[in-house]
Amino acid sequence: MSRAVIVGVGMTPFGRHPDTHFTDLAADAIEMALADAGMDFRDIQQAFCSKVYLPSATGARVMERMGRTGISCPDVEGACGAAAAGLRLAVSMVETGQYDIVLAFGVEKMPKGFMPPGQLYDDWQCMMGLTQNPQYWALNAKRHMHEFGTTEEQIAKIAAKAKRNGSLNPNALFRTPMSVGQILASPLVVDPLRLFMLCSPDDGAAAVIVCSDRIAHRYRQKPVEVAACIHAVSQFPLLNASSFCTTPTNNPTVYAMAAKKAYEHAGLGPEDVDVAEVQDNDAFSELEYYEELGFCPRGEGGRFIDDGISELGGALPVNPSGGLQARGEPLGASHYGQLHEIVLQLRGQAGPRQVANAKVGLAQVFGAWGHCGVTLLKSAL
Amino acid sequence: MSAILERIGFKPGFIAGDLHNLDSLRLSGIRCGDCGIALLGVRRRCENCSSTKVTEEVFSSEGTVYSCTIQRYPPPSPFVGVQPWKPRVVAWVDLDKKGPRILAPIEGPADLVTIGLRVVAQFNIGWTDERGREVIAFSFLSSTSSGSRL
Repeated sequence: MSRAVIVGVGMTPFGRHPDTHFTDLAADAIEMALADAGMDFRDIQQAFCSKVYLPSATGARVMERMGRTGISCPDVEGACGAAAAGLRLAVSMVETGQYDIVLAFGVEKMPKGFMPPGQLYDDWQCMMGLTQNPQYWALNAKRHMHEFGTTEEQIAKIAAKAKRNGSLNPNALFRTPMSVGQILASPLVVDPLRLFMLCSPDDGAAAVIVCSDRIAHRYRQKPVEVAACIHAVSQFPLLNASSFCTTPTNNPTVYAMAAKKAYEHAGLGPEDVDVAEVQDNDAFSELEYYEELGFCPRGEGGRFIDDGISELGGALPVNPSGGLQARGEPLGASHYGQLHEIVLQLRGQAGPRQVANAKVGLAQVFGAWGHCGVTLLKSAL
Repeated sequence: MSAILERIGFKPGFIAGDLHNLDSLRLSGIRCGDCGIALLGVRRRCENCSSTKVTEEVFSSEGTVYSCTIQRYPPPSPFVGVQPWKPRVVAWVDLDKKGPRILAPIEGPADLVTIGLRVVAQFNIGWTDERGREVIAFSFLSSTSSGSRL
């Protein structure tokens, strides 16, 4: 069995690209990944295109741009976890030896504002006005504040960190630093979440080239190893699905379960992670993931940010790219954008965002209906 | 005499009782004979453990707020709330007697709704569907303000 490594990454800036067709966005990211790997497109043996809101046959349309080499390129849909699902297919094909070089890319173009609810929810859920994502993040936040004394200031600190890191990232949508005070002065959207604590859906594409370790030496870049790549759909009933209900239990969350599987598969633990990119749809969700991914005990997410552990320069920087809060979220491309950052970090190429001596990186996504992905990358020895 | 309009529940299998007698209505669903959990809506299999040993159950209308927030913006179309839009409370409510935890709007002043508040379900005509039928929907209100309705 081969080991899967990443030999090339590329991404467009995540932001607003009103005048660029989605096939051109995707082709730009793929060209960058090919250049990064020093690879010709005709070397690619299989491709997977992750997308959510784009039309049928998005991947095939991108192949038209890249040149029809006759390879398979199906679309992989999995809400905000679409790219984690795509990466898993690419990695599986390389690990099982079916192919040596698989391209995994994602692309999306999202309008500003709420995502169209009718695509995800039943009529009654839309008619009752209960479909908007920020409200369930807010309900999680309110409960966490009630149980553990987490504060609005702690949540705002995470938002300020996102804006600060985003200001260092040329691929980010929001590049203006903002103080905790400015964030706390922005309008409440769903208590306790305020406007500048929320991520925005946007446009962009990102690509990674997955390669067998047996032939990775043919390409230029020092490869980064895929130590684990887990994608799952929530095992237990989820409050934001088709019945808006669950039963109070102490079941673990899908992200905690996916992270556990990823750590076990890689033979690593949360204490080994040097840098992480997580699904900060909103500043509170990042705090929750500190706990769920095992970076700190349950209830101590607020202290984790107070102590500066997740800041650049801290012991475990989280979202050095600025995360979803600074980059926005082009759904199909989102996890590949996270991997782009982690690969740069592990190669020591992250410039002013560089985490010193980063050897192991984690990327995590979570989306509608419980789609969850956790990928662990480690630098080659 | 005006014709009585046909009525349907907001979703089949989620509501039990006589749709023309709103006070008779309850939220309903299943309880799993294997893992014991309760979920809104009649289903063939338990969503939690995939068991087919599920039995239909009518849930208590009373519950306790597990978490709550204030929606300060109007939800996107096709939302059919009261116009003009006013911020409203949305909560997760744990129904009594080991019922499910459900997402629901809470009627009444936002500042009175807190975690732990006792609430009771109420049913009303939410909207009219494209075939002219009245659709019965639900919300909750504080049981201290509404009086006890078991």
